[in-house]
Amino acid sequence: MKLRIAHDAAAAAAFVAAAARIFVGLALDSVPIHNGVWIAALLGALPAIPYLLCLEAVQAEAQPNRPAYRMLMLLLASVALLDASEVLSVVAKTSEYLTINHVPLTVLTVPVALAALWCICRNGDAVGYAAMLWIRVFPVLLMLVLLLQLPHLHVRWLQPRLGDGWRAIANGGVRTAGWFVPSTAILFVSDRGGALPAKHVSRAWLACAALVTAPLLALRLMMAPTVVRNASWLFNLDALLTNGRAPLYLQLPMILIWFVGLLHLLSCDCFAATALLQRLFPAIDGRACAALVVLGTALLSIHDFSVALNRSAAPWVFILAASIVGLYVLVLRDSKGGEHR
Amino acid sequence: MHLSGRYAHDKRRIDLQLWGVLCLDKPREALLRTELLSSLDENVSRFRALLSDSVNADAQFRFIFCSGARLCVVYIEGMADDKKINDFILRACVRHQAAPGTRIDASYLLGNVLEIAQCEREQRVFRILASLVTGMTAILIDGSEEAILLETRGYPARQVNRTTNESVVIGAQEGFVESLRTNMTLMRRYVPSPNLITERISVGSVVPIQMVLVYLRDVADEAVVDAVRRRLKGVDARTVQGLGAIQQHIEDQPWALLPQMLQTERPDRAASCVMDGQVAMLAENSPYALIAPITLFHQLHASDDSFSRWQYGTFLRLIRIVGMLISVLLPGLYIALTDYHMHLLPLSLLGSIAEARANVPFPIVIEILIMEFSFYLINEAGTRIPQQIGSALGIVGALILGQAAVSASIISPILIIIVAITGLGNYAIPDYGFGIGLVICRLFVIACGASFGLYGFCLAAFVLSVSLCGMKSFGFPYMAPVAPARPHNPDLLVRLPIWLQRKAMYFAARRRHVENQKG
Repeated sequence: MKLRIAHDAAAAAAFVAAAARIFVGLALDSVPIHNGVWIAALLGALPAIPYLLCLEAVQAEAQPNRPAYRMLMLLLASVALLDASEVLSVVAKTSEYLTINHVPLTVLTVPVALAALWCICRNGDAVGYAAMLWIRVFPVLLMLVLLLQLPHLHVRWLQPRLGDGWRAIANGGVRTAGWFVPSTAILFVSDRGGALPAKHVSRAWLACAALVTAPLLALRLMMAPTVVRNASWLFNLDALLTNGRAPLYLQLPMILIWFVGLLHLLSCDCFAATALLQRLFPAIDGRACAALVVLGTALLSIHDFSVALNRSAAPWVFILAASIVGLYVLVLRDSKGGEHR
Repeated sequence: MHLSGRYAHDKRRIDLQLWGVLCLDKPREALLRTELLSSLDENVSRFRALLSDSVNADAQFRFIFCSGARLCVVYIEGMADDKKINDFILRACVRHQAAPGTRIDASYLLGNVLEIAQCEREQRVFRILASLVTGMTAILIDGSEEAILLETRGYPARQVNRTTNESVVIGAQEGFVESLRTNMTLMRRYVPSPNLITERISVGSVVPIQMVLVYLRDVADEAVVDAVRRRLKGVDARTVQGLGAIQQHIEDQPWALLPQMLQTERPDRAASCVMDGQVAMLAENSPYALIAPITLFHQLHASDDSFSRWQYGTFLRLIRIVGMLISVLLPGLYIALTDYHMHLLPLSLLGSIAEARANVPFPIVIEILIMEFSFYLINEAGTRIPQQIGSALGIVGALILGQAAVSASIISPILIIIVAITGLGNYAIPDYGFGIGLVICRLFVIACGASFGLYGFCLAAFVLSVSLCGMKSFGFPYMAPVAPARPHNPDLLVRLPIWLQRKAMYFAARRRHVENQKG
């Protein structure tokens, strides 16, 4: 089985994945970023634009036999795998939290892992077009959330609060830029010979991402300020879902967004990792590769290793990926006799 | 012809097109492969053998003379129209006086004697036999190696009548019937265009079924027509029982829960699809048409939508879509919320539910499964029960489900409301097969919701959405033009005014041509 995804499907999947990653990041990483989370997110989005454009240039001149190209693929596959394991861990833990049940983590992990495996086996278009479908649903749910929580939102809290100062904000910005890297992996494996021309898809993707992250950020910003300095991410999640003050029953649409978004992020990461591995080792069957990736993801997720690694490595992921991509583009221009000569 | 995958099959059968060849013993198979001889007696004895005349009561061999030439009229009693045979074949032949010295052969009879419009000459024995069993009449001529086949089909058939399963309030009321010819005529009436093609195909190796592909030349994409044709010819089955079986043989994903072709018993709907560039399949003895390719949205549209003003059509369509969502998701969501996430229910509603369930001994999931089973048991019984005692079923259903089960505290009243709304939502879906598929999807959502609460519910919704987006109908994405997004008329979830709907359909040849040029 050859894993493929059309470019428009990949763009949709990457868009939902990036939006979901920001959502997860708000719950998970807002503690280290503190109250400058939205400035950090904006700072992170800025370097992501040239990175994405460079990545498109690299992909357009695909040279799979070059060591640098293979290294880039390996890096993206590893980042996607690591991200998937973290997401799987978050999904399982969140469900444990929500079901108010003492079900073993393994039991909660297995169905999601199987679902991810099944999605990959349906191939990339199914994953991407499902994301495209949900793109139509999420805004409706978000509007519902905003309407339901309207009495509990306070616009004046949108004012920037620097918290620990610019150093923390800059740290958060690089960390946020790192969130985009796994989402771009699926764009890297997309098939550009699809039915629709791929022109400007990345720019459109960024514009859409900005449109989606805006209400998410607004929700986060209009929450009651966190006074607990070392609050757990479950505490933050609860605050995010209910805005800290809204009645509990208003959580429902937010929970739907949370789970479905995470499942998309997971399937997108797993698919990207699998497809990249298959391109690195073309002899492996797609299904076998998918099974290996999902198994690896599940094993990593059961321990907190991946979460810890992701948190500590997040600021470096973007720097590393951007460096490789940037260098590759420069080398590519040299080898083609680029305009600067 | 290139055939691959599950459509690959014994090529010999395609090439020979030997009707019934596989069910015959060797000597008769050899007879079937032959052509006519000049000896009338020899030819007649062959057909007697092939039609098992010694035991078959309805095979008729009538010897007559036409201006001294000896002929044999062969037909199957009941399948052929006696009046046509008497008036326009027997009487015409017997009364005809040819000029002296005239050689009586097939071309002379066709030109001077026979008074039936549709006639053809044929030499191959298997072709003659295949025509005979469908009600045509063959005239074998002494001294000639050609027979004449005459269109005399006149078997009893149901008249065109109102549709039974796809009723509409406004619009045409005619439905397809079991006669293929009548159905073809209906299609011609609704699409009066010289570009309408009705292409005959025979499917099945032992007892073949006659089918017709109906499409508009230059509107239907030739690649799609070719794919349909190739799959039909590739059906590797000894017998095919109607279009339902054909559908199972040729659809893209036979393991998928939802159908990838549309069944309609309305000629106006089939005609509308044909005019949009889709291909309709008609078959003998099947009172409906099979349409391909389709998308999910075709399953949710009804003929009323097009006949009504756009505001009414949009409103009814939205009701239907909400009905579908309720049908699939509501019971699973109810279980997830009441079993795992009581905190997500408003307190007053939670109180009502708790009060209603206070004396119910079963868990909610069992309660729901009991109700779902009872509901579909009554539904299925209602379909099979004779009409005269149908009202009894309503009483039993209403009493057992509505009153006794609640009084006995087996079921809570709230659950009855949930199941009733779910059932109504399911009945709002125009396509029967699609509705059944959704019921199975619903059971999956119930299972997930009951196992893991909202987490399971979201997991089921996600898996179903990926499944839908991965489906294809004759190579076209099932969720198009939403996912993948393609330019389309404002006629999917809402139906805007008809003058805004100027784009060619996603499947149409012209549209594909434009897209290919752009791409």
